[in-house]
Amino acid sequence: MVTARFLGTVVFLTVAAVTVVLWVLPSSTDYSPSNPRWNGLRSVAREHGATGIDSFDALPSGANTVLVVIPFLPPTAAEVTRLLGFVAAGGTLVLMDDFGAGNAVLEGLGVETRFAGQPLADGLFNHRSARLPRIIDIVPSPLTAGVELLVLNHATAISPLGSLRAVALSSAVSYLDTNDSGRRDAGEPKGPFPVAAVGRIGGGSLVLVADSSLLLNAMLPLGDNRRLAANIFALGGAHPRVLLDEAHLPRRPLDAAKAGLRAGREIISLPLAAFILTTAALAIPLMSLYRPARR
Amino acid sequence: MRRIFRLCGLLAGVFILSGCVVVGAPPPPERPRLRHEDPATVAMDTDPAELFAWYLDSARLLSAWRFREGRLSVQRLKLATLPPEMEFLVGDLGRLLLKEGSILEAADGWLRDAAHLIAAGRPEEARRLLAQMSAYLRRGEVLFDDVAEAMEDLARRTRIRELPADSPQRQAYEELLRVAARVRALLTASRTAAIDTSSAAAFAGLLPIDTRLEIDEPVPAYPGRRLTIRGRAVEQAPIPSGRAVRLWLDGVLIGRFPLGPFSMSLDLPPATLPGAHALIARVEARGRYLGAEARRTLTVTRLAPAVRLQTPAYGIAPGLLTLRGEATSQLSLVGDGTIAARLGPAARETSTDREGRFILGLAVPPNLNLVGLETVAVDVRPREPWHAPAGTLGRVFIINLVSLFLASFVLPVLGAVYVLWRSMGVRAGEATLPADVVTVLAPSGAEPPRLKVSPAANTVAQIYVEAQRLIARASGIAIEPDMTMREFLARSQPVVRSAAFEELTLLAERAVYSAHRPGQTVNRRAAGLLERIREDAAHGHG
Repeated sequence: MVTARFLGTVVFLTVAAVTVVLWVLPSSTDYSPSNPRWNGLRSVAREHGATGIDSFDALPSGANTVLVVIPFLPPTAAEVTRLLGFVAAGGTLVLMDDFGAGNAVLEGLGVETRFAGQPLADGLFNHRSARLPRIIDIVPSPLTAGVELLVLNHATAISPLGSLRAVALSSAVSYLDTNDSGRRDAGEPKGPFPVAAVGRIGGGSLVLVADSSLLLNAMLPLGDNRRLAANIFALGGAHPRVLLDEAHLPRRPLDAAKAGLRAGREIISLPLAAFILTTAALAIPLMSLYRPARR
Repeated sequence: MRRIFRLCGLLAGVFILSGCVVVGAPPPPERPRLRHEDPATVAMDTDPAELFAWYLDSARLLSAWRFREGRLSVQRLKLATLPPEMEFLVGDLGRLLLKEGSILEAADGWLRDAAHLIAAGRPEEARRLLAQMSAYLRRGEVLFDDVAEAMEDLARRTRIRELPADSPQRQAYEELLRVAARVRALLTASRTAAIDTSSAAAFAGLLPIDTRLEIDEPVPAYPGRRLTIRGRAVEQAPIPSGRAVRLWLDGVLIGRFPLGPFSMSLDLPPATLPGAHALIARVEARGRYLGAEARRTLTVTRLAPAVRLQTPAYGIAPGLLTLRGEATSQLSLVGDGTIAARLGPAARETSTDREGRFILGLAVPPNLNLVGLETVAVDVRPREPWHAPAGTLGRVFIINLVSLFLASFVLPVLGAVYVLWRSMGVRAGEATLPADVVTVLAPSGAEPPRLKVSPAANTVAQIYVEAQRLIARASGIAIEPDMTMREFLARSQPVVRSAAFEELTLLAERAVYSAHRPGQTVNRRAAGLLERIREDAAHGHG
């Protein structure tokens, strides 16, 4: 009997300890909105109140919604259809990609624009490294108000531009490092290349950024990246609703566990579950007080 | 000790089980490799050999009489990342190039002016200008030598000549040397032309023909509304080139006009995003005719209509609140716009009429929190693309019938509870009397006790109890629970005669059983009497 109680206590404390650790431990996953390190998105998520979403099933419609998609994992055809419906209904879709599945989304949206998929480098205008190019050619646009300089991180170019309008271009000495040599070689395409573009689809807006890392915690303070992010979200109006697609971001077991805990918290915050839990929390101590009289 | 062992065992169990959970977690599946790195720790990796490609572009602009663009190009190198040992050299070279560009531009202007003066029959003025220009160009040649020296230093430091002949950087360097030689030749030719007026006139005749292009500052534009763009393109040529001005808005060609003043009106697309938009006019170069470009930023905005709201002074909940109002704008009527009104949880939408007026009945629910002065929010979403959403707030006093009903029911109940509480409070005050007093002052059938006992009476009563004990001990008379003070006095007096106890009994009776509240004087008197009773009890008489 004592052993059973001991084991029960051990199991209970283990579950509690693991739960607390999983809940408290910050994520270190790239692009995670709860990751406070250099490769997370916590700064932008906090500054703009971005809400993570795990599916496109219930995308809200309306001009004040801005959805940021970093398609590290390819979306399904059904998901692309939902994105198309979202933009057609007036929403703003921000597609940030370099070497991911952005072109699958663009194809599904029916636009001719594509991400080049080749690494963009600039040996002269950069943040210490050619792979972190500085973008100094900024075109006047609603996205670039107050923006004079952007810093990208292992980006690509937008090519072809299609019907979209380029709002930021790399320098004339930038190039697509097709052979990954780290130096501009003969035959490699030379800049300027569009790296950010905007266009209208249906009643909504499509914003393309040829770098999935622009909003990272470490990238946001560089150049006018923070200002560009604010301008992008301002396309949703004075009080935009910013959604961040987490379904197509890289995910580690810790993130899956955190998502599970969040789902659990949502379930127990339902009125019925909260009522049952409250009743149980009151009843269990009372039951322990009740002891039948011993003869 | 046993507890410590159990605790250690518990912790060890938790630790082992947690370890099993962590170790047993499935490994992450294989994913595509991420490409990004921490900008704070990234290794320095720039290619200063690319400077030659940049200088080549700048030199081409300068040698093509696009002086302003050439200077801007050189100035942009401030944003380049260079090895520390090259920063000074590149800065110095940039300053030299800017000066050289300014000299070229000034010489070009003076040469043209001198040609005009000669053509106008003012050769003396032209000669003075040419002399000034010649001195200036000499300075330009000296500066050019400095530029060439700095360029050579840069070539050494970047080891550009060691790169393969087909590398773009090496090719840019070689091309730059050729363009520099052309610029040098231009400087020399200009200085030679400045020797006399006839040479200057002949040389000016060979210069490319300048084209001036301007766009008037555009007024703020509204999506879906007409926009007029005006400008002018002028070429200083005896024979018109027949070229055209092309006008682009956000990279889309919107117009094509012959040289001269131009104007065009267009309806801005309704989906145009508010903010800055690029307006570019361009005249392409052709033969001796130089190209030109003019840029303007077109600001597109949306106008928020003014919303006037009339709310009634008060509303009843539950009930219908009628809101009236009007949305007006300087641009147009705000017809068929959507009106959304909110008051707490109540919300309703309607449309404006053609004039922008609206009437809306808002059903106010019987929510308990809707009471008193409440805020009504009315938002207007106009149909016209040039109008921005707008809103206004109104105040209305809500009389909530449910709250009133509840108040009329609850207030009497609260009153009753208060009365009950007060009465219970007095009972509680009575219960605070010392146990001895309660015993002695137990109610008799003849005289029920008073309910109100003040703290002062309590003091007198306690003194009485103390005195009663002394008398009881001295007289040997037991205190019965149903005995009154006067009965105890009557029993004890024959045994222990004490006038002080007699007086104290009267004081205690008055304090406990009457409405009289004894003050400090009575308390002091009672205390004095107790001392005398002590003496009486000690001597067995009064």
